[in-house]
Amino acid sequence: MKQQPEAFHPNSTAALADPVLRSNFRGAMEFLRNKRRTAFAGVNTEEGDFAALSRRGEAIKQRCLQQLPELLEQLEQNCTRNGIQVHWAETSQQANEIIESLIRARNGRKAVKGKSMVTEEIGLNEYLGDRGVDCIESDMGEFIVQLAGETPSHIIMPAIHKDAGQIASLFENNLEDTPYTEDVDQLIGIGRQQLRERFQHADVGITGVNFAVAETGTLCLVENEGNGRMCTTVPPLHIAVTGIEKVVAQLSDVPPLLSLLTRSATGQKITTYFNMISSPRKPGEQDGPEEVHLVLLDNGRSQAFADEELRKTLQCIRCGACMNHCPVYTRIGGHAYGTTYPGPIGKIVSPHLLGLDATKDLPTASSLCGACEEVCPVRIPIPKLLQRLRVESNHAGTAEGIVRGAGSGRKPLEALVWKAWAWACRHPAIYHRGASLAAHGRKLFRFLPSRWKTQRTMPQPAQITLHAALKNRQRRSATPCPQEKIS
Amino acid sequence: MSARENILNRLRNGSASHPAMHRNAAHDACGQISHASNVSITTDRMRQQFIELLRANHAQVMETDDLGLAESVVTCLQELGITQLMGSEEVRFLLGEQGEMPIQWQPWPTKGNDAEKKETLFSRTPAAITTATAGIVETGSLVLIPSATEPRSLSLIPPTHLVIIRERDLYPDLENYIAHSPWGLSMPTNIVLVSGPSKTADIQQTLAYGAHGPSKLVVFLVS
Ligand code: SF4
Repeated sequence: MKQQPEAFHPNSTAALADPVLRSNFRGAMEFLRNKRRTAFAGVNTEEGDFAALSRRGEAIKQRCLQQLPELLEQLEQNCTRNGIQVHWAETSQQANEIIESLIRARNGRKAVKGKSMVTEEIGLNEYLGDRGVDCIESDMGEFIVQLAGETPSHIIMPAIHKDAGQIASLFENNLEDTPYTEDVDQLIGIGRQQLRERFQHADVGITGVNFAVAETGTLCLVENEGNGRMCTTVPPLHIAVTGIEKVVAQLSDVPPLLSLLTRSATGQKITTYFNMISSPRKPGEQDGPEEVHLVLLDNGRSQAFADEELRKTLQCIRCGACMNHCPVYTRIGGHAYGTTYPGPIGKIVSPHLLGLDATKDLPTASSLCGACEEVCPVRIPIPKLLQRLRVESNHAGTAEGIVRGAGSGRKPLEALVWKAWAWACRHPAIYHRGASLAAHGRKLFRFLPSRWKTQRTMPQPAQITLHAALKNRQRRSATPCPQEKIS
Repeated sequence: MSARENILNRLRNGSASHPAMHRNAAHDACGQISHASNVSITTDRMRQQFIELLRANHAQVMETDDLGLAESVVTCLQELGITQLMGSEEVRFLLGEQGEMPIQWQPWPTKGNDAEKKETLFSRTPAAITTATAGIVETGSLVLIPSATEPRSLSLIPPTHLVIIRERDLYPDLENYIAHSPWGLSMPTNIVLVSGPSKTADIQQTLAYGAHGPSKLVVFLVS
């Protein structure tokens, strides 16, 4: 699917003006926030709370990232030993080519996909579709979104922007012999029927990975519906695709991260299924795929990795809590961002995937309120990273400018104004002159052309400059007050 | 150079520019969910919590013992109106003489190719029974380790899934279970934690059961 972060401004304006969209998001976000709050309320840790648990999550992810190259090699080694074939892709294009060639090798034409944001990131459905492989989404939310020709608007609940009525019409108009019904059980039943057929006859199952365990060569998948298990059990070929940051060192790293993930994402202690896959079908076993492949994708992640501060972006376990709590996301929804990953996490990860030139508006779309950092189960300092990306966006060729497309947000006029300001600050006479001029002409400020004014009142400079006010005060205190004389 | 080398080189360069100390897992143990209290939790409390959580997740739980197991299974199937059950020879043996039971025992389809087996599983298998290797009390989860005799599809494709678990196999939490697990570094092909029937809240946050996996999960907790 074409990503269009450049259209962020018009998209968000349109989203704000859509009352149905806004009420769908508002309801959904409140629901998810409450679920999360309840899930953490009963946590019993030695230190007692979410803070302690999230510190542990952060420590695990940071330790694993510190050893990332070694862990990836270890993962490859152990997967290979187990019979899982490992492939490396630097770009989306490479990943798509690898996946297509694996499917071709078995003459596959029908693919079922478990929910996976990374395959959205590489645009796999479209790529395979153009080459004659029919790739159908099997997560209920993703199935709905695919039927509507859209993309997910939330990384955990892809169809959160639609209400039951909209889904009822979608099914009625697009699926054979399907009458209109808003009954959710019936709607899910319809989806189930459609997809069971697909699972049974699929040539390949494609999924993401939540955690890849280096020490054992195990792929872990977290889900509620069972479609992930279907995709990894029924077809003869399973292809798992994952970003390189999903690797953890050992099995014991998984339980705390799993607990943080499910509680943060959907407010569950655990999801219905936690699926650990360590090999293809072994001799004597009756089912399961004959081949399992793992595609490790970079696609800009190693760029984030190269900088100590930006590396924290890779701690993310994709729980979606930051979007559920973001005042911007809850109002404009996921599509306005024009990127696979919306919301706060999208704003800090997309510049690495797509370049800052395409995504320069995203880091600015934040009030830096800090709600995202507060709820992040692995304590990613999102506001700080947003500020860092703003700097990157304005400075090319400096020490900071390491992100692809750095400096692309630089505006010549703005740069000139700052330069002039810096110069004036070094020349007191000019500065005071300018300040008093501004104070005198303060009434004129509201006529200045500025986007600021479209939502807010234009501030006015004070009548007297601070400098002048202080001078007056000094003058007054030089002549002692009459009262003081009496006492 | 290959994609592999390029990626690893970039990462190694990245690591080299920030030579932070390698820490080991012991250093990030802060915030560990406490197990200390579990010592005082009686097995009875553990059993109770396990059952409560499973029920809260819409699983049906039957408490029974070795002698009553077969009868519980039959009663449950009768209530559900199911007359046919797929499972391993071991479980069949465990449940005693099937001749006396009003259920038709359906063995795993050994004949035919994969496509035919799938057809049987998807279209002609109303229910299956498996054993669970362990239970996780903290989350109310069943640990299933499918095998040659209890294939992965048994707990996945038929709309009703019955599970036998023994009380002595309950562990306080997943960390504890992993620490005690016998497989070490060579893991079984597949391990799956099941904590209820398949479900989704993808339509307007309304919970619906039976998304893709079994819509009914019945747990027989054997004391
Ligand atoms: S940044 Fe944090 S809160 Fe947001 S999705 Fe990632 S882990 Fe969750």
